Amino acid sequence: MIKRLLFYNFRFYSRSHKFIVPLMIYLAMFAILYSTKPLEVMNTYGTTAMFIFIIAVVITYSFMEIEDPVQQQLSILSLRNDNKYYFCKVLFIWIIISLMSVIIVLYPMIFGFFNRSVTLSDFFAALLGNIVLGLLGVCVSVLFNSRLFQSRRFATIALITVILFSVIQKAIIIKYPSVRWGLYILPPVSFVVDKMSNFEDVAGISVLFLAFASSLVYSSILLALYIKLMKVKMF
Amino acid sequence: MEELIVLENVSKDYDGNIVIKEVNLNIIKGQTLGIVGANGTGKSTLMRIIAGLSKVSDGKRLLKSENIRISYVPEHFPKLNFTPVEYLHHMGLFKGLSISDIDEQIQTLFDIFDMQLMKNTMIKYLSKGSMQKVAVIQSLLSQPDILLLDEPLSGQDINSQERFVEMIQKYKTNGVSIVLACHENYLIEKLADRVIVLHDKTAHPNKDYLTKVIHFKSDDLIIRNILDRLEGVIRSDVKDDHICVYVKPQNSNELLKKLLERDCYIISVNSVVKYSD
Repeated sequence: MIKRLLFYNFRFYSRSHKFIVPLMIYLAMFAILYSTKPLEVMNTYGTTAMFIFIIAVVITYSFMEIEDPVQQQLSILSLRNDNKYYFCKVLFIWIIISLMSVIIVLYPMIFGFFNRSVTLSDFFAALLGNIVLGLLGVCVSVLFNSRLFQSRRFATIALITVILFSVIQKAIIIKYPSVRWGLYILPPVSFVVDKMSNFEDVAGISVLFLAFASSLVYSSILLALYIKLMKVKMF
Repeated sequence: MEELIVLENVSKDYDGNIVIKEVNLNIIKGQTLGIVGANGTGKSTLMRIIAGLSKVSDGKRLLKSENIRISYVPEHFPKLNFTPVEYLHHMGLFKGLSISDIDEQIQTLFDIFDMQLMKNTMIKYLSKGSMQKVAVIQSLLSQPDILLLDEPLSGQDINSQERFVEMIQKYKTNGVSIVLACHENYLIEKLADRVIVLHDKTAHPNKDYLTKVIHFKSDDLIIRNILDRLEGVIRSDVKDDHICVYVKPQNSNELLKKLLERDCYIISVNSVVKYSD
């Protein structure tokens, strides 16, 4: 059934033309990122991960509005499984984001954009980091849909605020250490990007995996919250 | 009588605006419940509550049986970027049908509803009536336990309406519970076993829920004098040679026959929801 739901979402998305703007942003960012060489390996991948996080937010935000609420009702009644229905929406976008992550990670490796050769641990750290932050972007953005937020304007402003503070979280903590506990509630984007950018060899892998794990736990909590809220709010 | 769903004192409001208040009703296996009421009385909201798609603000929705399969025909079917065939395949698969079963069902239902020529046209380009047919077909792909029909015939041609009634009667025979909200009185009269009227934000049991209003022209003094004494006549309004008579639905045919026999000129026959305790 998951395969069927993914195909249904794919058809909906591909025919909506809502993918055009995020795709253009992706290509533009791609061009900017890889316009110069040589590049630092993990620094670059830290930047691509942050970029994938933002693209994930943008794609999810528009994707969540594609299916008319009446059609959502019909899909849920036909499936008789709300959990699967909502989970597959997230899974579908995550698959798209993961494909984008693979391309953005492989491209500079294949075309020799780096100042040194990329090791296997670099590659896996980069790929995982991009995919993990992609999931985080999806899970943050799904919560700002029009069924949970009646005012689209408020949802957009709230989402942009969360994204902005998540991205600059580390910079704020360095400047104002007293507010660090308040900022830890934000998605750990800054934390993951920092650990990725400073990753040098296998010795530092445990710290990196801790960062990935924190992001995955955070995403899982948001995903569970999203499904719960959608089921409680209904139509 | 096996109850499938029971609503107990159910109320629903949107941001403080009460749509329905303290509604009590039960969905009984194999029974067809008609819901009538003017526009904006909360029929669609009530349908969504029965389906479990809308949260109640107060009261309870009780499921009396496990795994109840519900199919739903919404009043406003969305303009989708799918052809009817693609869409129905998706819905059929969601319902757990096999591809061959879906193909077979689609062919049968497309024939019944005259949809063969439109099966590969994007739904968003179809007329309102044809879109509503797609909505009806998706609900009939597999046999549910409860079929919720919210204005199922809006915009549909006469042939499709008749076939639709035949299909629903077949479902009734098979023991499907049907909840029908519509403006077409003849559909309610033909299919409903029980009717509730949504009025003043709450549900009232059926009591002369439909009063026939016969508007006719006549200068026959005899008919004018005896009119109020005829069986089932509630009241009559006379203005010059125009007469409006309000009659109970079960007596309307007999009255019409009498009027025609007296050479009265029938201008219109309508039904109005007229609830009285």
